[in-house]
Amino acid sequence: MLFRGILIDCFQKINQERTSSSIYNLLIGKKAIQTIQDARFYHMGNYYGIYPGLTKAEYLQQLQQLLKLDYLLEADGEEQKLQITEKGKAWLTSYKESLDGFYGSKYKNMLEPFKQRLLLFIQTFTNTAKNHYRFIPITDNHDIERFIKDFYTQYKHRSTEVLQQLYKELEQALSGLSDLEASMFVDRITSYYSYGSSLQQLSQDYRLSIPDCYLTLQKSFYHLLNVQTNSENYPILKLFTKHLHTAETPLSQTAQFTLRLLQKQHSLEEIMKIRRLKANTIQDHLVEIAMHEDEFPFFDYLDSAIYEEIKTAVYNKQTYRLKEIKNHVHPEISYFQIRLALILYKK
Amino acid sequence: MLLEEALNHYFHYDFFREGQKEIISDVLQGKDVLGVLPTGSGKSICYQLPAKLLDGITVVVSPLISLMIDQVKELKAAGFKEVIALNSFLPFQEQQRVLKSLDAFRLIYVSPEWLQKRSHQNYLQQLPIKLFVVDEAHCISQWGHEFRPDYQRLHEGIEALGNPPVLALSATATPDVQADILQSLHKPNMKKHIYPMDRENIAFCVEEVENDQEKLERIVGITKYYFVPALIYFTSRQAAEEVALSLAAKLPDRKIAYYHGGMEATERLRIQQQFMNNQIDIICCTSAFGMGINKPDIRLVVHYHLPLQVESYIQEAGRAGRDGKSSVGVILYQKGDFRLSASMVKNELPAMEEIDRLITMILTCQHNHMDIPPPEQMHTLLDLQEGAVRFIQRQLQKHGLIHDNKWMIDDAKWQQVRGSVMNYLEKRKRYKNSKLNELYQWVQTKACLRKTLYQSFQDEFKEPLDQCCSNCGFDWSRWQPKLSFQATEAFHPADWRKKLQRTLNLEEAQDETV
Repeated sequence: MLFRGILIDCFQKINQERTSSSIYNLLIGKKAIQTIQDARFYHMGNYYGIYPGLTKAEYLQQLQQLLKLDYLLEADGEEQKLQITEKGKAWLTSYKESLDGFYGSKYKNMLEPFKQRLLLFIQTFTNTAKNHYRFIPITDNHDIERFIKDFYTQYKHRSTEVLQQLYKELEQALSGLSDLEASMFVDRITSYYSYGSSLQQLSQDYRLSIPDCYLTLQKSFYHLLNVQTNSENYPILKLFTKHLHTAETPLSQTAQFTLRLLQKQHSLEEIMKIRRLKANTIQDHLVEIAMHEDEFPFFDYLDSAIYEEIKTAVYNKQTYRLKEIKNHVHPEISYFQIRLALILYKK
Repeated sequence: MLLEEALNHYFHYDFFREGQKEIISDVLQGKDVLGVLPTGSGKSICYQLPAKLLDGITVVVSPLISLMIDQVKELKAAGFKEVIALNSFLPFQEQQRVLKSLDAFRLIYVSPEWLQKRSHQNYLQQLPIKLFVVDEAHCISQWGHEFRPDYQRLHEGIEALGNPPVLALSATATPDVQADILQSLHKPNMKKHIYPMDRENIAFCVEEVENDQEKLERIVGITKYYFVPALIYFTSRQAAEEVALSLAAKLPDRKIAYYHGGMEATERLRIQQQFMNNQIDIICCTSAFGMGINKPDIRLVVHYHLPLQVESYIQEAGRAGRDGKSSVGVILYQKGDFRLSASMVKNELPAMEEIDRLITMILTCQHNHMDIPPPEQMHTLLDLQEGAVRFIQRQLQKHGLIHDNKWMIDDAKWQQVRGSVMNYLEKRKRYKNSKLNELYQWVQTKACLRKTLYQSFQDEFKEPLDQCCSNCGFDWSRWQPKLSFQATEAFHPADWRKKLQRTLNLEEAQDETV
């Protein structure tokens, strides 16, 4: 149900302005500028990158089910544009609360290492505390192993103490979730005492689909990250976020080059010449830069009258669809200007 | 240091199993050795211990990448850290990093394809290689049940590495296959250490049923009573999943899981480890499960589907009772199974018409100057199983119609070689069918199942430890293994705090303070 709810919520938010692939890209956390823009414009940042392992086939299969259940339908017979039905809307309203608790954009690039560090920590400390040194680590990610090794040398003399403190923190944090969510989280943990459940086993034990189990677990990890951000009562959990950054995806190499030229006060035309690139390409770079840089000189490219005109069109038409906006502003206003205006509007 | 001391020091075993010491002694003296040891007898110690003791590097060729990776993980977990697996799945950068520091390892696993590359051989040539191991050596022989053409070129690799001593190992090599191994490796004077295959602690039990529903009922009937670690083998992933779910519904107090090659690696590892840890008692699996699994106390191996030849059956059933205690191999068999197996055998090879069609298509495309995918992408042109596609690729390569991943086809050339491709195809078909027939004849024999099963490997048989087989009289009520599981408790999400305490080793401490 969780997976279903997230999909319907997304399709309601994009309101047929974007294709169904754009939702897929959002869920797997594609680094493309378009996907990041979608997440912002349509307020779906919380779902960004929450399901990195989702395959296209699984995604399409789930969409098929939603079509079959009449929660979604193909708008104008277009496969790529899905519309939410009345039935879907009603269902979503009743389910909406369960969709809270994802912080995809906020903890992007942090969730995966945090999760693996925590799990490998528990496996390592519970085993070594029992003098059991032969176990196959749950992850063979080099960086994670390195981190836990350092952590181990530092804390091995106090392992019982650390485990007790971790219990306190996890107990407190998980109490903020439902019993089912907390229980599933505990079952997934690998320790000296037991090897954690696979998704298939969770799916059997809790009678939920595999994607729902996966997303429920993800939600718990987001919850842990969130509580340690907002409170001082989670010193151990905080340790597992050491040196992790929510940093925005850095600018692409090619956009960085353009940025450097820009900083040297070269004009758009000059940059085109220097880089032997088309105007369109350079404009793409500028849009990328505009999203990342706080100090972007928007009004070098659009004057305030144009900006107001675009804003009005967005407001009147209630849309972020470029084509739609273009049709309702002065023909001389370019797509490039509309894209910049939208970024500014959202900032 | 005595060999026993070294064994204990490095691997924490107290004594050698049959054959290990003899093989290791010869290997350490630099002899070329062929070792045939029954499944579950600890073949890998035969090179892992020498790898520790030799003053240099041991290279192991292994046919299955997943098996290789599992072994490396286990060795590392056991404290043997100077070990690496080299294969095409290693990310490029990782491989570059590793290749520069190969001398830091003692034991290097490679896949046969990986070894064939000149540039890879160049790296290995820089190293003091003291032992070259051919694991699963029966793959060399066309008459072995897992024939791997890449294995037939291993002698080139051995030469390229300066002819280090060779150890060939197999759990399943008939005298014919043994002769093939010696010949293909160009080592006619290998010292042979052949040990009998028969396992005195496994009883065999064939039960004929009417249909799949009855198979399920029989499994429920057996496992309901015997709370012991059990494997149930299937030839299809889907069947393994379905039966696992049906069984779980019928046996709510048992822990049941499925396992097959289509699952994600980390999820597979979880199931494997839980089974080792006795958190799961029954696994419904395909042949992907079991290689490299060292669980000593599997008591029951049930075949819901039979494999396609006797050798595979011996290997799969041989996973039972590695600790030497009384165990049972059950075969549930219904008349329709043969047809299912026969169609699987058929799909493992292409039909001659398929090959003709492919050639015609390529000739037509060439004639019209149309783009054709390269030979490596051949599967996109054909609706065939992987094995069948590989067969065509290999044949065309052998006859020079594919070279360096390029098509070298013209009509005249094809007409010249077509006959010999067809002959070879027929020969392989006959061979595979005869293997299948052999297996089904065994299932239906009235003679002693144990003797018939092992007869192509040896002439003498050990006395069974417990009961012999269903043809010599098998009585379930007389099979009383020690039951190793309790019924699992019902499960309540609300109990998560208690479980979390136990998970973090805090249970005892908490109890004291309460």
